[in-house]
Amino acid sequence: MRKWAHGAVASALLLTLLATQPCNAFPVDFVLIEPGDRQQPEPQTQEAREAPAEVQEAVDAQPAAENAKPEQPRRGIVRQKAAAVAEGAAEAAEEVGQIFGNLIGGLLGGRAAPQVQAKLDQNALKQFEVQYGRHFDQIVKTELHFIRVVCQPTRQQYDALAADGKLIRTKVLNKFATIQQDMNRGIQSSSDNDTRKPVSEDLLKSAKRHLTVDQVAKYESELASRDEARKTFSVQATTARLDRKLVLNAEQRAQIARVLNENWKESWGSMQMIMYGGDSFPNVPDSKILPLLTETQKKVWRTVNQQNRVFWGFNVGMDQGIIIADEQWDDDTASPEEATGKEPAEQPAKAKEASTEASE
Amino acid sequence: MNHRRYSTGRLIAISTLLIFNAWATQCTTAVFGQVGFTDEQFEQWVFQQYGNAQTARVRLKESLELYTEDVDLACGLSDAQKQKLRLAGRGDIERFFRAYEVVKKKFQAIRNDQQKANQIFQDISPLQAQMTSGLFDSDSLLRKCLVNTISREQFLKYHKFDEERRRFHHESKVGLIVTMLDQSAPVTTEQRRQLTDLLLRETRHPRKSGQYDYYVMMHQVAKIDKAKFRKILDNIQWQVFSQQLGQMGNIEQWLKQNGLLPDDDDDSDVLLPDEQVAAE
Repeated sequence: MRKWAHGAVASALLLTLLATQPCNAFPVDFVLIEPGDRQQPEPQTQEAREAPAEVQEAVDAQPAAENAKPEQPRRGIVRQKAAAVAEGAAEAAEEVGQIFGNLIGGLLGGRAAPQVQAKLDQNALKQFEVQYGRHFDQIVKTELHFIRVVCQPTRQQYDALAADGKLIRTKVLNKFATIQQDMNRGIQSSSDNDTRKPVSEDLLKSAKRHLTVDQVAKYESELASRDEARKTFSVQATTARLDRKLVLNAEQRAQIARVLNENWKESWGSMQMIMYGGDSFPNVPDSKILPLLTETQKKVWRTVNQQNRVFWGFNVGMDQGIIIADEQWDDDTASPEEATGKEPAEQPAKAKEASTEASE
Repeated sequence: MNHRRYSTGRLIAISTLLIFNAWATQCTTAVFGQVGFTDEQFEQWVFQQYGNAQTARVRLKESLELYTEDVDLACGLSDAQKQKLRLAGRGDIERFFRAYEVVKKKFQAIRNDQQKANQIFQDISPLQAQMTSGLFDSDSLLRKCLVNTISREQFLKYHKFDEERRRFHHESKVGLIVTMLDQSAPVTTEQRRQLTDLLLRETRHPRKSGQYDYYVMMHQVAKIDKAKFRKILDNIQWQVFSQQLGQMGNIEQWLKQNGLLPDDDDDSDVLLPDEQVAAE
């Protein structure tokens, strides 16, 4: 009996040691923040401290009604108390879920997706700026150029958009720096990976304040077309990957493309998964796919790795961040065609120079 | 009874010690770096998502069955023809595993030498590419056997079937190029349409498909006359796209080494067996 007790004590001591010993293999380090803080991680640098607030006011200037919560219907006192208790319980359950979610996320290398966002660290922001700053410059400048081509703004209109563009760059860069920092800590706080979309969305808001209704309609229409093209491509590329895995016939390809199109989720279209995903596929429900397959194909389908919460990294395009020359204006009335001519002979000197450098 | 209690206590203590030891080893490895590589790690590198050679072999056999069923659906095979195709496919699998064993032996000889172990990745890379693109491509014994096994009538049916698949994949690859440009420097709806048409006309579906498709396609795109792009793209779009195309010259050799591009004197790229039939 005494020896058994010795064994048990030894086990308990070892387990305690095991539980308290720090280990690099499990880098779980996160900050649990209140639900109200989630959308606004506290920035650290001077620029970051100021810019988001300005962006919220200047760029995000939504009508008050858009952000306001719908008014709660009046309830009886008993009902209100019951609802308060239920809300409290739900919040507590959510918090517990978040903690366990993070632990699991840390242990599994960030696979779980708890909704916890860490504060943005100054060093992390600096590092992110060095790594991706040029990409975000390129994204904002090329998007502004796109607006110029599509909407043909005046010089004054364009300058107003470009000023907002600087603020949008800071806001979006902070957003992705926070996601990156969370990922480094084993937390998946967001599945957003398209770095252009938040820029174009904010520039659309800006356009609504600085451009005419007709100009905005043109930009909106082009953005819708871009989204549609992206979805069409993602569905086709995913079907092609499934075809390589399951050797489908033409009818099956068409059926699967239709199923994907009808049930499409944006997270399924990660360019990294499409390009480098190997055997990893979106988490398409079996009930939609299996009826379309033969017995052998079903057997193979059950072995594929269906990913729902894996983060594939940011899509910043295929270049290293190109320095885009400032827009050229011969005078305030220059048309976009003159400034962005398609033939080298028509290029303004500065743009021509940049184009030649790129070609070399 | 006492003896049983004693054994139980000792068992718990030993189990705990073993767990602790495993954990401590893991931490030590994480801190002080890897000491030699194991066969399991080597298999993981080569077979990636399949994890090990055994699972990979099972998956490749399933893949062979899918290909045989596909040809059967396209042109109706006899049992004897199916047997022949399966035999050829098994030959492809064995050929791959022979190449794998050669690299594995090389790895086992140098696994404790960190520097040389890094060099082994040059040998692993083509195996990985083969696993990703599949073994039954135009260079495979299965495809070569197909031409000699089925009748001309069957082959024409299969060719039509396969051509449809190639077209579908080609469109998808062209979509990839246009989408990636759209991400780096957005294009208008009309530019997207024109660019897609141009790339569909001027490029071919890669001979082997896999995770390097983008680079194989861009390698082809880089050879298209620049003037054709300049008619579609404006200065800034062209600046971004030409930068991406400029990177392709550097990876040509790598693509060739991994069998993703035909050699300059590779006749099969000029006219593949199935294309010979189509040409007739």
